[in-house]
Amino acid sequence: MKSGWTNCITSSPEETFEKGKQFARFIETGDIFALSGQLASGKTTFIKGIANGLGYKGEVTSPTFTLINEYHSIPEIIHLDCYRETNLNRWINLGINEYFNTDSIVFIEWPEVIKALLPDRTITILLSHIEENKRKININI
Amino acid sequence: MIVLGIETSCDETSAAVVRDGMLLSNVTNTQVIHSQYGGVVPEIASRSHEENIQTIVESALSASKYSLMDIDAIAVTYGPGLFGTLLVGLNYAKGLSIGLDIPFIGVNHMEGHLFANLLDNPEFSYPFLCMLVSGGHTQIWEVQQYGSYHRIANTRDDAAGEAFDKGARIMGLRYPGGPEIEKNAMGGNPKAFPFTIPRVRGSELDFSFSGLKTAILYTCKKMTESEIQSNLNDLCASYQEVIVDTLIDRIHKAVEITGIRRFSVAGGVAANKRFREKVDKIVKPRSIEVSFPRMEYCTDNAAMIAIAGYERILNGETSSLNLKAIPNLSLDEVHSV
Repeated sequence: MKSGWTNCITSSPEETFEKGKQFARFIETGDIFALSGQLASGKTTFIKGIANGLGYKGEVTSPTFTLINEYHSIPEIIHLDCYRETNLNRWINLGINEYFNTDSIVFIEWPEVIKALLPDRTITILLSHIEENKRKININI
Repeated sequence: MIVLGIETSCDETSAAVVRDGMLLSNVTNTQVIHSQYGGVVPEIASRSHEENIQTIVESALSASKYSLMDIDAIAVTYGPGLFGTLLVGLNYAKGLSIGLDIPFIGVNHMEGHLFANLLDNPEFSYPFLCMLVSGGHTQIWEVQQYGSYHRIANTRDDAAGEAFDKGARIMGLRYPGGPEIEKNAMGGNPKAFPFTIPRVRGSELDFSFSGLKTAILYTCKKMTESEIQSNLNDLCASYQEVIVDTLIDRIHKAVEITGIRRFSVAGGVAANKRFREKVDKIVKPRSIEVSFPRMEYCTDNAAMIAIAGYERILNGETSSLNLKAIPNLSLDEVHSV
């Protein structure tokens, strides 16, 4: 990803979405993002904003149950969620490694489960609660 | 005509046999493993479809009293779902199709859900609305006639089943959260905590459940561990109530907007007793016909794939061997099969 992004605090889901849209400008093909943060910290909302900023106008919904959502845009966006499936072997069986070697932009929610499989170049985004509507968004490259 | 249905789009490996539109058998890995292990389900999700599919197909055939040689066609899910798991079913179906020299048809998983209702209720007539409400989906479809589908509502973020699960986790309850919340809600006051029905900007019908996660989280954060425990019935009852009320609200609005007074409900959340109770008390008295298919047809299953495939084959359709698995297949593409 390109440099220049500064960490921020948002005060509503709408603002988290807007920040995601702005964040999209720093993304490069093949980037992999691991999004960590507690329940309701805004991970999906931030990704919705990013996808929108990347030009994808379709629906972005939580992949908690579907496990992997693929959004057809150029480049393709892969939206993973390891919240429900905590078995590393199942992720390997699903061919998760193949998503890491393409031009696709990959977002992983609850990435802790598959930490061992993530390439070194993975960028961590940490979302945290400050208060009911405030969220902190930090990027660690 | 005997059709073998195969479904491997996500967690379940399932096979079913349909003869002339009548379901003869429907077997999913959950059931088989259940009986093998005496009710304890060991890490179903981690079992791979490759290990299961042969056994599941054999069980479905043997329960139907037919053999592979009797099958006239195969119906298989080719999307939407997980690319890796879809491929297992699709390639298995293609292999059988070549080996037995019979046709196969790719079926859209969502079309299967729309027709699950016909398995139990063949009299259910067009046009109808179908609410699919599970962990992965919360949608309303308008079905004018066979092959004509229009999705009129979707969730913007989380599905209703996911809201149950994550809310349960926040309240310290076990997985799966839906049944846990339902159990703990019994005897609770559904009005104790004022959660409000989420509105979606620019849409009367769409759903949004992610804000409820924040609401329950901050309600719990303001309480001590023991306060949460002593208020658990009220918390669960209130949280369940707002999810159920949202579904009921959208059923009424969908009827109002489309003028269609016939509804079927599919998906795991259809099992929720409070939801069914409110449908009986509030929806049905407004002369809206609501049909809940049997639970085994509500969740992911091959019976619905077999029946949808049977309809397509009757329609003269078959798929070619170069049919690909399409993870984000939409129902609008269903005509290009």
